[in-house]
Amino acid sequence: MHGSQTPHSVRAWDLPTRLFHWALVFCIVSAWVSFEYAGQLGDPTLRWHRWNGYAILVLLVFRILWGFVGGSTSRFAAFIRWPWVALGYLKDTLAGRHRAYLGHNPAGSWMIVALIVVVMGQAILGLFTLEHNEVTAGPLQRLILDDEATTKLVQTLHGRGFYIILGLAALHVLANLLYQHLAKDKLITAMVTGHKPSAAYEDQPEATGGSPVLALVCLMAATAIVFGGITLMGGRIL
Amino acid sequence: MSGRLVTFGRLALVAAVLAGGATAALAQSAAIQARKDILKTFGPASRAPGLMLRGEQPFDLAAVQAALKVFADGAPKLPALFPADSQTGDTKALPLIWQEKDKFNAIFTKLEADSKAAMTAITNEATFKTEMPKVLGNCGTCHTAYRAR
Repeated sequence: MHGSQTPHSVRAWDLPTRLFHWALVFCIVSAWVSFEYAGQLGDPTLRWHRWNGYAILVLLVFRILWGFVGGSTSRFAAFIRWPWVALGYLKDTLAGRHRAYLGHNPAGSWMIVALIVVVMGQAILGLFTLEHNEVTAGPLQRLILDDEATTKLVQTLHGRGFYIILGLAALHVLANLLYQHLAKDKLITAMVTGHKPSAAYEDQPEATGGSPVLALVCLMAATAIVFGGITLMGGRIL
Repeated sequence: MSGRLVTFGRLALVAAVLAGGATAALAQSAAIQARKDILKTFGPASRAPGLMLRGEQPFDLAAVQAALKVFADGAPKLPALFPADSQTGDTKALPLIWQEKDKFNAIFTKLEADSKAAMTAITNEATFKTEMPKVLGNCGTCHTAYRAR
């Protein structure tokens, strides 16, 4: 199992969670690029941006399902703690008392929840958004086609949502860089390799991997939920 | 007597300055208003083709041609309506326009050329679906770079 790893390294993250994470990073960057440079990229109808949004929805629904059946550190039950626990952890950390967790620490876990909620909200808004020149729209925009005020509101929210994601992502990246380099707790490396050095972690000593078959089932279910849901709501997937 | 003349002179000076300022302000807002008037015909014109592209409205060649004519007629008038003194006022035009005026103007030239090319190229729904986005793409290229959000 740990053939290529040193004997003192333990599993921290299962492969599906890591693939999810980096795929989401790619999709968020590409969502911005595909809108901001649509003209230069020769994609005025935002085909890439729209399919990018579907991909983000599938990824997030997958992650939510995986949060119930995935590897031990990927499960919501393992990392969602009371907010005051998160505050206590933050207080200790800011006071220089680093408490090591194998999976998400109590504060980080709320960032994960915030990111999932906000990115999900942004993607759902996108389904209803009319492009600012009315050239194209999300598949569910037709449900509010004649409601100009709502259309305008959704447009504004989808535009501003980007900045909320940007702010959260900046905080998330900054925190991870500080852990990686200042606290010498290599969180970024762990999200790439899936492993961390063995230590007295507060949450669990070693993570289980999660079943690849279950991961595939979750991915297929997520795809069915996203595209089936849009179609059932009367959406036209362009 | 001379006191009155001086007073009159002062009043005249102030009035002249005010009038001059008002004229300049009016001329400035005239350019802003003129370009807005043209651009505000573009929005409604693109609405029907947009609905057709999204499959919400049946393809209508005459409506598409009418929209293309609005773009082809309006586009060449726009470069002159962004004079250097029209950067401020009731406008969403970004300062970047005046920093790269040639690049900015080129979009209008392209919009006119694309619209004219599409007028002959679009003959049916299939050619509409391939050609129309090229024309409408100019809206987004300009708006994302040069219009405040």
